[in-house]
This record gives sequence, C-alpha cells and structure tokens, in this order.
Amino acid sequence: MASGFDAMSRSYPLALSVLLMVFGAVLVLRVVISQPKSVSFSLPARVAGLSALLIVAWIVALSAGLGFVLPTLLMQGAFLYICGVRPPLVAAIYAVLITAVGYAAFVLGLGVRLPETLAPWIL
Amino acid sequence: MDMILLGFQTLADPMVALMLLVGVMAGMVVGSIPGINDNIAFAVFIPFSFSMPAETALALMVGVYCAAATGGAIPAIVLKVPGTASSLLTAEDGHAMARKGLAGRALSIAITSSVVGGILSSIVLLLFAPSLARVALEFGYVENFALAILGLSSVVGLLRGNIVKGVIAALIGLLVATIGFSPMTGAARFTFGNINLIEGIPFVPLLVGLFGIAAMLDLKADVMKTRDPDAGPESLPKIGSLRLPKGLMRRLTPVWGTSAAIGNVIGMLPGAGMLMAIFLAYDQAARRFRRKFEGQPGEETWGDGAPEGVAAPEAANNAVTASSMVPLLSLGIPGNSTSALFIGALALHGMVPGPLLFTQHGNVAWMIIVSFLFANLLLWPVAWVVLRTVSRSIFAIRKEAMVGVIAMLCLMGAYSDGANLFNMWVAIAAGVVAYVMRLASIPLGPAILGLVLGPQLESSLNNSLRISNGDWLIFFDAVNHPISAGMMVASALLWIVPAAMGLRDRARAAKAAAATKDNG
Repeated sequence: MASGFDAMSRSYPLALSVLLMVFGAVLVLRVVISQPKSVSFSLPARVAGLSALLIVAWIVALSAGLGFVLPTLLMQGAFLYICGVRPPLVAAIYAVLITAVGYAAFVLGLGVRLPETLAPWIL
Repeated sequence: MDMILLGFQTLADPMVALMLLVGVMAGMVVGSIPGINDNIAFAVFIPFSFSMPAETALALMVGVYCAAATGGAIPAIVLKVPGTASSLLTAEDGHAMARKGLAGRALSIAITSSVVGGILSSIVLLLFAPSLARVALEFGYVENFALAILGLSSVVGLLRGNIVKGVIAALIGLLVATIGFSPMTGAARFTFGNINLIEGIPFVPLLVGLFGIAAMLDLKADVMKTRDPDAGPESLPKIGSLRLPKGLMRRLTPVWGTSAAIGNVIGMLPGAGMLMAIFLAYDQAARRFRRKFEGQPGEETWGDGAPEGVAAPEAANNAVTASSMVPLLSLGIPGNSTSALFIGALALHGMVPGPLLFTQHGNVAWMIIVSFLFANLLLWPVAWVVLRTVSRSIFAIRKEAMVGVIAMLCLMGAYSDGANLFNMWVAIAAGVVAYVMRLASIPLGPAILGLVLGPQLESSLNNSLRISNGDWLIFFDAVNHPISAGMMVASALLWIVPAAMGLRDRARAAKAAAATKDNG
C-alpha cells in the first residue's frame, strides 16, 4: 500500500518527498521569473505517444496469447512505416527479417519462455 | 599479485576468453552502427548474458563496453556520422582526413589512440580499485552514509548551472528506490498491492528502459526530423593503408599521454561522464596543435584534418571506460551511465559491486580488471578485421530500421529477466519518463545514482542514528569517524565550490555589462 506503514519506514521517503517539493517549487519559481522562450514539444510528444502506443499494443497482444511472431511483425512494420521506410515491400522484408532474428535470438538461442499462446501452433 | 594471477587464471578459461573476443567484436560492430550508443549496445547485450556463467557473461560485457566506444569512431571518420556520442569530436578532423584520402590513417590513429588510452586506464583500474576496496572494507554504517552522500554530491556538484535539476533527479531516484520492503522493518512500501513491487522496482528492466527505450525514442525523433525516403546508403571513401608512420606516432605520444590522463581522472569521478573527458582532451590538444604546428608548411588547420583532433578524443574516451570502473568495483558507485549498467549485469549473477565483491567473488572481480587490459589489446586486430570485412555492410543498415530493432531487443531483454510481462511495463514506463526528463533537461545521471545508492543511504542513515542515539553530528565526528568527517567535508566542498564559482562568474558578467554600458 502507498500508506499505512510504520513511522520508521515512513520518515525517510517523507523527508525525500518534502525535499522534492521544495526543489520543485524552486524550479517552478525560476521558470516563472526568467520567462524562457516557449519550445515546441509537438514532435517529441508525437514520437513518445506513437511509440508508447505501439509498444503497449504489442505487450497487450503478447499477454493476450497472440504469440510472438504476428504482433512483432505488425509492430516492426508500423515502426518502419512511421520512420519513413518505403516502398512497403522493403519495409515488409525488414519486418520479417527483424522478427525472425528476434525469435531466433531469444526463443531458440536463449531459450526465453514466451507468454502462453491461445493455441500451441501460434509462434 | 596472487589475486592478479587469479584474474588471469579465470580469464584463461577458453570459454571466458572466447566471450571476451566475441564481446570486443560485437561491441565494435554495434558501436559502428550510427544511432546505437554505448548504453544501447550494453543494454541490448545484458539479456544475452542471462544464461551464461558469471565469468563468461561479464567477460562478454567488458568486451562490448571497451569496443563500442572505439567502434563509434569508424562511421565518424568514414561517414561523418558518430557511431556513439563519444566519437562526436572525432568526426571533425577524422572525416576531413578521410575526404583527403587519408581515411586509413585517420582510422589507424583512432584505433591506436583508443588502445593506448584503454591500456593506461586499465593499469589505473588495476592499481586503484583493489586499494580503494581495501580501505572501503573498513567502512561501517557511518562511513557508508558519508560515502553515499559523497557519491550523490559529486554528481550534482558537477552539474554547474543545473544544480536544482540535478537535485530533483537525485531525489526522484532516491524516492523510486524506496519502493518495496523497508530495510528497517520489512514493511512493504508504495507497492499498491502489486506483488511484483514487493522487492522493489526490478532493476534490469528499469535500466533497460531508462537507457535503451529512451535512446530509441531519441533516435526515432531524430529519424522523423531528418527522414528522406529517397536517400540510399552513402558512397564511402576508400579506406586505404592503415599504416601509421613512426614520426606521427612520436608526435602524437604527448597527446595520448595528456588525453589518457584527463580520461582517467574524469572517469574516476562519479557522474562526470565521457563527454566531459573528450571535450577537455580535445581542448588541450587544440592548444598544443595551435602552439606547435598550425601555420607551418604542410600542416592542416584545426578541425580540418589535424591528427591530434582524432587522437585526443579517442584516447580520452577509452581511458574513461576502465577508470569509470574504479569507483564502481571498489565503492559500488558507478563512474558513468554505462558503468551503471554494469551493476545490472552483476546483479543478474547475484553480485553486488563494492568492496565485498573482492572478498566474496575475488576471481570475478579480478577477472573483470584483467579483461579490461586484454579487451584493449584485442581492439587493434578486431578493428582491422571489422574494417576489412563487415564495415560496408554495417553502413548499409538503415537507421530507420534500428528503431524497431532496439525496441524489440530492449523489451525482450527486460522480459527475459524472470519471464515476467510486468518487466516490459516497467521498461516502457521508465523509457518514457527518461525521455521526458531529457526533454526537460533534467539529467539522468543523478537519478541513476539515487536509485543505486538509495537502499544503502537509507539503511546506513537509520543504523548510524541508532548507534548515536539520534545524534546527527556522528557523521562529522573527526575523532571516532575521521573518514566520514573527511567525506562530509569533501561533499560540502563539492556543493560550495561550484556555487561560489557560479556567483563569481555572474558578478564578473554583471561588471562587464556595466562597463560596456558606461563606455556606450
């Protein structure tokens, strides 16, 4: 739980939190006083948002039992497309190669046990 | 001496030696792929070491660590695209030499400089790490607390002009480290009922996310900013002869010495980082070049093919690699971000860096030290093979394809640590947080150090206060705890000196502005 533990275990994180609040307030004050030029964060926000979305979809597909190969192929294809790899055939070849290397390295090479799939034939 | 022999003996195992060679080769190849920095290379290789015995796995990691910094120089010289951040400055003079048909000579200078810098720093590691560890074995709770404070202060104090953000980063790291069992009472803290958090945030996925996923997002932003679907692989200059004339070697010897010394000193300071070392070494080499060679017949101008411009950053960056292991192996404090990943690699095999590593796993600790020496000796032949065989294929790999590859390798690597999907969530969350921190110019180094030192800081603080019945002056007791008092004074200086220098700079700037106004 986030609270409810004894005083001895609480005092150290509490002290750190107070310090974090103090220094955070100093930083906010500094920004307000210095009034820095506004910086556009649209590209970084798009990058982080899109990538996180793709990765989250991939993790959900893995945990839903869709196997490794299909979700990885789709994720790689999407990454390659977003990054501007054209024509689509080249992107598809890259995606197949990356997925095959990933499967060979982790599953066949390192013996990593993948999450259970819906059916045994789904790799 | 016996312990050094033990290190050699461990390394003499054919499998361990082979893995060191594989690591050097893999590090060189991965380091030469533009966009893959030393951290990603290391983060990607951690999962591959899961199934290996500790000695074999750590030999592989040492090889990767040493060679990735050198490999970065290859595309920096041939393409003017630094393979790693550490070869940022090598690209200037190195590529200028390549354009003039001296690619082979520039590569040869880069590799020789890396080897010289690396060997000198391996000797520093050999001499200093065990001695420091012997001193650190005398440490009790009070000294351990002072050491953690010194480690954190050295990182934050070095961030001139960015101290508030540095403190915030360190506090975030310290707070995240409090998740899980309390070291004092065993109570579960901030776990929100999640069983995966009872032992704290899993460290390997956290590091993989902070370094690998964040770097992947950076690379993706870079690709999206500069993408050109029609661009194919660039035509490469001819590499030519790799022979280095004796006269040039004599000329570069002082540069190697100075740059390696700078790299060694900076490497041993926790959090100072490789970039600081290469910029300082480059600056020193530029001063020497301008004083001795610039303007003479047949000499280039600085930045346009001066051999010193390649030698200085390459000697400095490889000098940082081994020397950054001095505080890590002896005190448990990482010298830079990549060596922080070493903690993850050691943790995977049940080892904790610090003085006890030398007593509990002496063979592994000494093998790591000796491996640094041998990895640097292997750099030349491996670089020669890589340059003559796979370089052109490496440069044909599209940067765009690397984004998905890094994402998959990092996430699968995180998952492999216990075959737990929760680790993937940790890695992606840590990656996004690290990326946002980078955008907000909040340094990652202090946060990592906070994460690493957090548990030690809390338990040593609590135990020290118990011993002293709540008297905080125990940490400054020069009679009973002189080491602690010394470290606390050093920590205070690390805060006061940069702050005083900042105030002095500000006063000077204000004075200069006032003088300009008066003259105007």
